[in-house]
Amino acid sequence: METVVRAVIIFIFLTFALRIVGKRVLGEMSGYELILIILIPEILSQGLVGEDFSITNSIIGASTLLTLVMVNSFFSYRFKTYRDVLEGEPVILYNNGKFLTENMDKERVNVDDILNEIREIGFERFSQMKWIILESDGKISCIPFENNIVNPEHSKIV
Amino acid sequence: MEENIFSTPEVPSRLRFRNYQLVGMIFLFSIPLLAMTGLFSVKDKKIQTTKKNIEIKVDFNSRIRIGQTMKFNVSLNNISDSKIPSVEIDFAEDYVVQFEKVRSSPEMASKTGISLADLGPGEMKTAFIEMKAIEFGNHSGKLSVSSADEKLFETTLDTLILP
Repeated sequence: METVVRAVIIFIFLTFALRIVGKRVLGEMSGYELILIILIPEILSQGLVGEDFSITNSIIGASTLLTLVMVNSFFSYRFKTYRDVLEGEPVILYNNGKFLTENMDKERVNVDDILNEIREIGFERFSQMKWIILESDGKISCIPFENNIVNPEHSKIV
Repeated sequence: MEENIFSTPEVPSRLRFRNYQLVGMIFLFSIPLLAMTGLFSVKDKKIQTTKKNIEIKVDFNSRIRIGQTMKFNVSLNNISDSKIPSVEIDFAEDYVVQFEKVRSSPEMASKTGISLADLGPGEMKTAFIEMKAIEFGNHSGKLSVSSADEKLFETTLDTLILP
C-alpha cells in the first residue's frame, strides 16, 4: 500500500517536473543526462522503496510505475487535450525567413542550436529552410524548401 | 493565408490490444491493486487462549517481507490464586532459524527459548522478541509454553516470508 502511494507521488512529481523543465532539455539530454538519467533515479529510489529492499517491494514499485505509464499512454492516445497538456505541442521557431523569437525565448532555443540542426541534415543556411519546428519530444525538425531552392527573399539571412 | 502545418486529419481512435498485451496488462495492473488491499503487506496474527490457570496471548506476523523485523510478543497472565513457577517459552528450531534475532526481553536463555521468572497470582509478564526475516518461504513451527516440566500450551506458528 505504502509503496503504491510512494510510486504514484513520484510519478506525478516527475511527470510535472519534466514538463516544466521543458522539451528542449529532454531533447538535448547530453548536458543534462547526468541529472536526468543517473542522479534523479538515485535520489528518488530511496523515496520509492523506503527502507524495504525486498524483491516484493521492488516489483510493487516498478509495476505501479509501469501501470501509471500505460494508463498515461492510454489517455494520451485517446484525448488530444490530455496529450497537449502533458506532452506539449510543437512550436514553430522559424517560419519562411522569420525567427519567432518569442517562441525561441520561451523554449530557450538559440540560433546556434538551430543552425547545428540544419547542418546535421545536410544544409548550411537558414534561407534554405521553410520551417523549423521544436517538436514535443524536444527534437528540432528542419523542413527545407522543395527542391532545396533558396528563397531569394531570405537570402540576406545567413 | 497562413499555412497551418500542425493541422491533422480527424482520425477516430480507440484503444485496442493484442491478446498477449491484455493478459500482460491485467497481470501488471493487478499487482498495485492487490498491494493496495494489503496482500503483500505485513499481516499480524493473534492467538489468545486460557489453559489451566494461565491466560496466554501470542502476537506475531503471519506474513512479512524478507529483511523486515517481526515483533513477537508472548503475554502470560496468571489468573489463579497460586504462584506459577518459572515459565519456559520454546520455539521450534526449524522456525527460529528462518530469522535472525535482533533483540529480546528478557534475554533468550537458549537459541530457541526464553525463561520467565515465577508468575505471582494475578501477575502478567510479557516476553518480547524482535526477529529479522532472512529466509523467504512459508515457515511453520511449534511454540510451547511450559512450567515446571508441565506443558501448558502449544500452538503452531505459520509465517510466510515474501522474497
